[in-house]
Amino acid sequence: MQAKQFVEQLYDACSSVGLEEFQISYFCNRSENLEVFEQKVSKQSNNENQYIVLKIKYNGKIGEYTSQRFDEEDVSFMIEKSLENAKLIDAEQDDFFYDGSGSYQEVVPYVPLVNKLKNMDKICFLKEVEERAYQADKRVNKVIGSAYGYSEHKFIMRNSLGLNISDERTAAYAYVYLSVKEGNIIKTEAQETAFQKDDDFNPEILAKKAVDKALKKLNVFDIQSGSHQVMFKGSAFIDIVKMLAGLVSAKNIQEEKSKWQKMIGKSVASDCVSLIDNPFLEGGFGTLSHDYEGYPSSYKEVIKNGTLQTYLYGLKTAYNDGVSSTGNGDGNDIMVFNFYLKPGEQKKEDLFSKMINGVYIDELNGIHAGYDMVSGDFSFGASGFAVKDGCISHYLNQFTISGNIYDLMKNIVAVANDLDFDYGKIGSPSVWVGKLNLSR
Amino acid sequence: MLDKNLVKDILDEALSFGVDFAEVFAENSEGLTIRLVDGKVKEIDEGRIYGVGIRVFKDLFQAYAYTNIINRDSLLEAARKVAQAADCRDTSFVKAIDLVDLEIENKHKIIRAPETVKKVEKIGLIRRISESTYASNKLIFSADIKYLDKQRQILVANSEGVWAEDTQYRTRVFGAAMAQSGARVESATHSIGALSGFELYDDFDEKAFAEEMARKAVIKLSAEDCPSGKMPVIINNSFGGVIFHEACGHALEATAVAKGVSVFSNKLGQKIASDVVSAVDDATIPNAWGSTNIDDEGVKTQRKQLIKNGILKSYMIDKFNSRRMNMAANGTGKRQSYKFIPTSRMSNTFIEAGNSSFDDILLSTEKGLFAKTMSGGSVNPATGDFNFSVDEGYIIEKGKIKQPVKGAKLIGNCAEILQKIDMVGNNLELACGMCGSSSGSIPVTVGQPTIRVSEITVGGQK
Repeated sequence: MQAKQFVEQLYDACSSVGLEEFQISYFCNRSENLEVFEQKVSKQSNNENQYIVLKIKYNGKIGEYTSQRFDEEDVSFMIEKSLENAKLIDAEQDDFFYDGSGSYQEVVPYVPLVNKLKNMDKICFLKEVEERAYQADKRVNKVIGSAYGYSEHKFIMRNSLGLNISDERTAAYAYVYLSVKEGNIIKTEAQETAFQKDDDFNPEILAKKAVDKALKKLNVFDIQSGSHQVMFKGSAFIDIVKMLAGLVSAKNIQEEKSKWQKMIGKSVASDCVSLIDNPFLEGGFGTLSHDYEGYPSSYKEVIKNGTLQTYLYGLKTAYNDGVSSTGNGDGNDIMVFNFYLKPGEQKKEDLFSKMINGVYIDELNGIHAGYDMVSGDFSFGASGFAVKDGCISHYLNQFTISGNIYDLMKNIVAVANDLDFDYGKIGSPSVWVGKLNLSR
Repeated sequence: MLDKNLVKDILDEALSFGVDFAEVFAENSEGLTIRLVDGKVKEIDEGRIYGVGIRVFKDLFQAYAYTNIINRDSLLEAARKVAQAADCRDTSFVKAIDLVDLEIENKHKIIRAPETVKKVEKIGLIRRISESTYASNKLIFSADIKYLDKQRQILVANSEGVWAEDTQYRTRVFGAAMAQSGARVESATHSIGALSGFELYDDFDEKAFAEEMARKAVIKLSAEDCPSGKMPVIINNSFGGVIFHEACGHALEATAVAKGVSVFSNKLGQKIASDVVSAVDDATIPNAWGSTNIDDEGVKTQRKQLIKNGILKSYMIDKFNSRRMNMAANGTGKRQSYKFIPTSRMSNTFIEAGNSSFDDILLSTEKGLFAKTMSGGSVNPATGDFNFSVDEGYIIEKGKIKQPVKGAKLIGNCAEILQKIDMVGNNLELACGMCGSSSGSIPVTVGQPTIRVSEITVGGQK
């Protein structure tokens, strides 16, 4: 059966069996991918995938079942499973659907230049990226891959309370991943583009950016272990901003996993820190008029000049705290939109000259394992540049960086003006965090 | 899942365009996760993964398409699309294929398939673990226990005539406990898992599991910040094997080796580790978490000696990369689901037992760090730089385990670290985990006996 026809049948079946409340979400993804290696297409794919999530409310609890199969028998199977799961949930908190009565703001999300993409020969583009990378410098050792991807996503959500929303989006990217070599030293680097402006269609620019970044890493030394002044490049501090999203999630607050419980209106970070969740950012990768509970999204300053203003709520967590949803619900989880540290006034170069000596970190590794939200302790692999006499100097071989996120937020010295989203929905400018322990 | 005649037609359709290999992968999986927080069932995620992936090769070109719109027309259309992408000029040599059932000996017996066990029984298991966790120490204030199971039914058929079907059952319990003393809060996790049915829990000591998890959380309350710098580190058995997984395993996958970008490319027969290191990737261990009868390319799995006494003996090779490497595929082509193109991956990968006893290793270490339990890590196979985290650590002084320390990260480079393993214990143990790479997130076992690394960089807050 076609998925859309299946949704109709499922909706009718749910209505006719007299369920308390129910909700159906339909997701459809189409994608194309290409990869070139040594001037030949090495990989090509063309995909389509759809899935449906049924949620049923029973005695205040919501049970769900997700299916990628749409046979006749799956209609009653999904209802049976969702209902069974709702009956087994015995948590005290009730769960809710949204009726769609609020007003949804018109938004302008990121979209690639689709017409220009249609006329582009993707294979030629990738071959040229590879060729230009090798031509850019003789120290380019291997272009490990250059790849292109295009995707379309459709989403529809309907429920028995009257909610009926949908949206469609497209995305495209290309990237090159390469290594450079000098003597025994090998370093890798990647560069991405999202085809938003004319320059993004120039293979030479893409190749050159990757090569330039990689070559800077060849002049490399080991860091002296100890306590150093540390500044993060925006694209590296994005990993820390993602951790902040966990700390302000009402779910983690209510499960006592974040230490920022009962801290609304109190200082959690230094004065120069403001943290924004902005669903309305024009051209943003996380721009969306609603959350994944169908609730209208809203702009919020989560931290303002160091003071915590709000947690991020969905319907259930908001009910627990006796407040309204902030439009950050995603079923059992919390989602963010364009989520970023507000840029400051100063250029990063001005901050280097104030820092005088220290380290400018451009990459963190092992994030998934080296961070404990409950204690806030973190220890990551990192790499970056030495800052000497107020200027960027040589590159540093991988070292460790350790600290505590709650302390780090309070010790932030300054936030630069170079906000970077790194082709995603989480963003950060360069951030000077004061002293941290680095080891090699 | 799919009719044999239809699959044959799909493969024939693809081959008619002149490609030299065609494959159909079909999957029908059902998964369940139940989350119990503070004694209450809070979330139940359940669902079905269902779809088909069609793949073709022409020389060193590979094309793939997946869909979950499954009917004759859509699948034949997908086959045409992928085969046309190969842009073959010569279509004169098209052989007819005959699909023959691959005889598979099932090494992994299942007694109680998870779908035959009622959810209340599964909830009962994690409820008892939760209760034992609270009961084991009064400093525990939260227990978050998850029960997971998955039934994964796959079919792989290809133009070499292979028709292989397998059903893989896995079950796992993953727990997290939080402990508090004054203003200090710490957490710890613990897990058990296997390629098994619910019988895994028949002889399972729930209380010991809960107590171990609670112990780890409570010990952290008194842990000091870990010192930084280069030092000898004793890495305990079991999940300690994540060091080999990151520092060596990934760089031995054809994914990196075939393109010549791995630090271990073109090193077969060469010495890459110290004499005491022998390592194996073995997907045939009965009912182990990372085992399967066949891989996701329809190749029977095997035991592979990766390193013997420091000498590199073999790589993990999938079908496509086997072409670039001119070496046979060895049953390591894996994918998270039909939505991923398979590539070479680890299964149960471990350092083999050596001769030293745990006490020998400890007593011969004057000063250093004892990494008792580990969490995950990552590696860049092209540079060899890896990192991984110590969950529970202790200072070693004069051959004795002293105060607990927390928050340590170990970093190093593959090429160097394997040479610095100078003692290997006799207490081999395996542990389960999940591994993420280009073909998705898959279950893997890591393992080792207790080992000593003569010098590695430790990063801590002190």
